[in-house]
Amino acid sequence: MKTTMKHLDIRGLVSAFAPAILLAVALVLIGTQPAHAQASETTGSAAANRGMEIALEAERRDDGFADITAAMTMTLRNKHGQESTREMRNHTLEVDGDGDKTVVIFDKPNDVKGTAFLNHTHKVDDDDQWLYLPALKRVKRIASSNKSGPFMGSEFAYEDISSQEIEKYTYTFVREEDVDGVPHFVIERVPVDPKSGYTRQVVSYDQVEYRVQRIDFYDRKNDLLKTLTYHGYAQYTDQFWRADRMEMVNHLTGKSTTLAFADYKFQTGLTDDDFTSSTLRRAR
Amino acid sequence: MWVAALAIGSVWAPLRAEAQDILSGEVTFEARGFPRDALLPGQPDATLSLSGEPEVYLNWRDGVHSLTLTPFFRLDSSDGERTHLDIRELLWQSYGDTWEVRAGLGKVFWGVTESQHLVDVINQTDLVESPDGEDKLGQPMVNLTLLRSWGTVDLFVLPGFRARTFVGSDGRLALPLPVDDDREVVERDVGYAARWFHTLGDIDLGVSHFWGSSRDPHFRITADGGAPVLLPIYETVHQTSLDLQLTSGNWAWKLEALTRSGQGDRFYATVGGFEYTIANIRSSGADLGLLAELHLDSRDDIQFGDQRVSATPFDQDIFVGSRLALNDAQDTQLLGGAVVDLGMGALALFLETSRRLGGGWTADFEVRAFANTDPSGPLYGVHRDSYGQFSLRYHF
Repeated sequence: MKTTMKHLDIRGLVSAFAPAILLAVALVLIGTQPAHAQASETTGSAAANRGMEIALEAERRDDGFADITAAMTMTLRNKHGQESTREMRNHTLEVDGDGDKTVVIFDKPNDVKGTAFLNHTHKVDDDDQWLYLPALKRVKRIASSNKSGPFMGSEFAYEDISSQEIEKYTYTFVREEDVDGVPHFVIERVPVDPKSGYTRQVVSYDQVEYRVQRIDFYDRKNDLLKTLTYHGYAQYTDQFWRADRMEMVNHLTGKSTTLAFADYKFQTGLTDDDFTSSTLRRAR
Repeated sequence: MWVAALAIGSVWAPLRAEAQDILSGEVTFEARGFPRDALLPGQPDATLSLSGEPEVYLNWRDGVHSLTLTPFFRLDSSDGERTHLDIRELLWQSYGDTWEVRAGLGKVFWGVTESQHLVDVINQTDLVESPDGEDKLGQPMVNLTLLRSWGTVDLFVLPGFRARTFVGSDGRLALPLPVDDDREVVERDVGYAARWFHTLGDIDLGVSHFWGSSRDPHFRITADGGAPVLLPIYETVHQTSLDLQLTSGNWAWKLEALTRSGQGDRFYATVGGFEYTIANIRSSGADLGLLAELHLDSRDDIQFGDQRVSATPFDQDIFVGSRLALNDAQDTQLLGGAVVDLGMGALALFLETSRRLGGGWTADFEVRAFANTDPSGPLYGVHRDSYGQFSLRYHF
């Protein structure tokens, strides 16, 4: 019964998102075979389709948020448990047909207060990034190739916090499993970009709302590097689910980072003009 | 009366809610040591100084209107000229969907290159702060910004000229003769500027024109009661400039170029080069940037007293440098490099490092060294003034 339901769902999806799925399937065909496909080729391609379907459904459910503002507090913890915090505000604009645009304005620590970071993300190409340096009043375009590097000294890499686009990965369905009595889908995704710091990511979604609950990141040597877990999901404007806390643990270094969100506001009326290198000068 | 009180109350109410955001800024303790003996008697081998730059920021309607006040002061143990006060910003800002207005004292940056800020002309350099010329005095301005789909247009009226600050003769890094800044010649007090800039894919492009008194003066040697002094002359110039950056993958290609008339013959100058970033070296999280920039200037040497000297330190020079960002929790950064004069072989070397200490404190260490200087070169006056500088900053 459950499977039938799912197939029905998927048929509906296929017709509604035919172009996207065609593109996605094409990407899967052109792209690398999943590194860890254990089964035969036929089941491999079925697993790829199912993995993609889950990712597409998760994306569909988050479609149409328009724009979001939120306050973020990042708590960095080293292996001795010493903590330091960063506070910032995040503005995101949904862009049809391309990656989202974001502005991050830093409030703490005080030595970076007023610094602002503008990112025009793209589905496949390198992102366009600018930094506003308040001491010099300088807007500086920066090379965006460091996606695998740490964001603000934390355990989050730039690629972990940037816009998650379907086209950035190829997908494989792994399994269904129960976590605390809640059924989950587990899929594996492989970054398309060779500059990614990861060979693969194993992503768990709850089956109820298709919310990401956990991601295991495997480094270039295919060792488990980091685990990200999502906590305190709440629903906004009767549609969009957002976690109020994300926990990233680095298994190699013992360091961890908590990213906490507050003051989520959806559909505040932000436009393209709020996300340009010119208007970055007045962001604060 | 109560209406006024109510009005004040309603303006003040939204401010009070964000009281902790109204005041911020930094206080810096700085120590400099000069290993070589000074050129002039009375110049110190070490200096201590204290500076502060608090910022008061008030805003209304979620930042649509804002007022920023940023005074700056420095107290220096030896140089009376370096002990100074400035208003870096006293600026009213307002914006709408397609425009922004700024009025008051403010600071504006133009340009893309790292080793010289060639086209950056709105603000005067506060040269007593650092020989790198990156510290600027607040400039009186009215600035209208028009945000259009085909680019951003900035229009400036600059009522009021600020003269460059110069190290006094009892400070290190001084010019070879005292500067008479009481009798300086300023041809125009009011300046105008316009700029268009736009992003086209990987390219960021700016074209600007400036009309007003030049920010960098000529000097004339005159006698002040017998002793020779330098008289700064700020002539009216027209300057048209271009700044361009192409950013793609790990590469950032940068170019600044200008042509200026009004200081003798029209001349051309350019600086261009690249920054190549090796990101996340061996998965350490650190980024290494490799930089190279070439400087060219069409100006001939000028007669200065009884000798001919270069009109600019960047007549034909090459800069090579490297930037290391560890991207760690302490935000540790190093930037080092050398500017080599291709004509005379003079070398200016620098290293700048900074690190966050925690609790609001950061530390930075800086070295500037001058080597192989020629008596007719622009660096000769400071050839014994290589120094190391340690600063401790408290950010609040």
